[in-house]
Amino acid sequence: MATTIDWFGGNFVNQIQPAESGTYDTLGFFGGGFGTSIRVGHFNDTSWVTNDDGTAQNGQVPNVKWASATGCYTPNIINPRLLTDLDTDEATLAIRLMTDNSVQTQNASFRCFDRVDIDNPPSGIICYAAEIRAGGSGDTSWTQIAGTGALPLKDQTTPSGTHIFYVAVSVTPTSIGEKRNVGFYFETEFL
Amino acid sequence: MTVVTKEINKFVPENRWIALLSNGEVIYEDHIPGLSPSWERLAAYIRENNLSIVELSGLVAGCEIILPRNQEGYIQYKKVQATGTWSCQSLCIGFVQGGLSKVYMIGADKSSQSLIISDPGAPKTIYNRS
Repeated sequence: MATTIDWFGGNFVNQIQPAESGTYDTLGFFGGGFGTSIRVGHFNDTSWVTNDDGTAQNGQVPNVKWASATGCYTPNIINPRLLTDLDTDEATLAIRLMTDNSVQTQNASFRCFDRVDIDNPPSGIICYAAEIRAGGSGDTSWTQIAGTGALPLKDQTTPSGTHIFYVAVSVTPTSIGEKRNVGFYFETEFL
Repeated sequence: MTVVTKEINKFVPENRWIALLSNGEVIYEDHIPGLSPSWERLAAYIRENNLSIVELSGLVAGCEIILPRNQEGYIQYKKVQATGTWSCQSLCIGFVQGGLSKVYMIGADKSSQSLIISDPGAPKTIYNRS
């Protein structure tokens, strides 16, 4: 088995398929329902596994909506919550690294880019991300990520063949219109 | 006694690092289930037997990169990069001199990139006896 990276919703209900599969390979952020726009200056109310042009969906991933520098809204809870109150299964994304042997990870990071060059910022949105870890030990505040301005992820030093990184992501458009020039990038070193 | 792999067997991956030690032994990267990463076991084996790494090489997709001999230390780690559209795994090997290191990232597609960075230290770096 080769080393693999797979992308899921944080609750592992739905997977974002590899792009070469041709379908449901995209994470889409919307307003109150699938296909509903997010107003400029507002944040995502729902997050979906969708296709490249956002015309079909294959289920939701947990939605996390920016509320303040340290807070967020999650579904069915009216009041904002601290990021550190989230469980890992409430994260937008679970990024799973699987290796042939037990490894430790170092210097993992998560980026948002324009789908052209991982060093470029995304186009037409502002993206915030935070690492969610079990027991409230994750990030206490959001990080605005754009190109080389990445979210660092904590080293996972317990040797294992499976490492999972949970990330909450929230976006706000800076102009009207569909935003396609947005991609996510993950990297990690391991021994 | 620390287990290291001295011959190519089913636990030795196709893409791998290879270390020549000061006693003439050749040690191969292995993926033996239940054991710690082979680079960490190599470090322990060297300490236990008062050895050093004379030469480190990397073999990726049939191409071998051999680092200069008898450096202050040698570095090895893997790196994986992924977007929704592509992913790439690289073997990273390098050597240390005077607190700096030169690291070669060799991709599975035989692409390569060299970086000069600060010595990352243990466990990525195994230091030779001065």
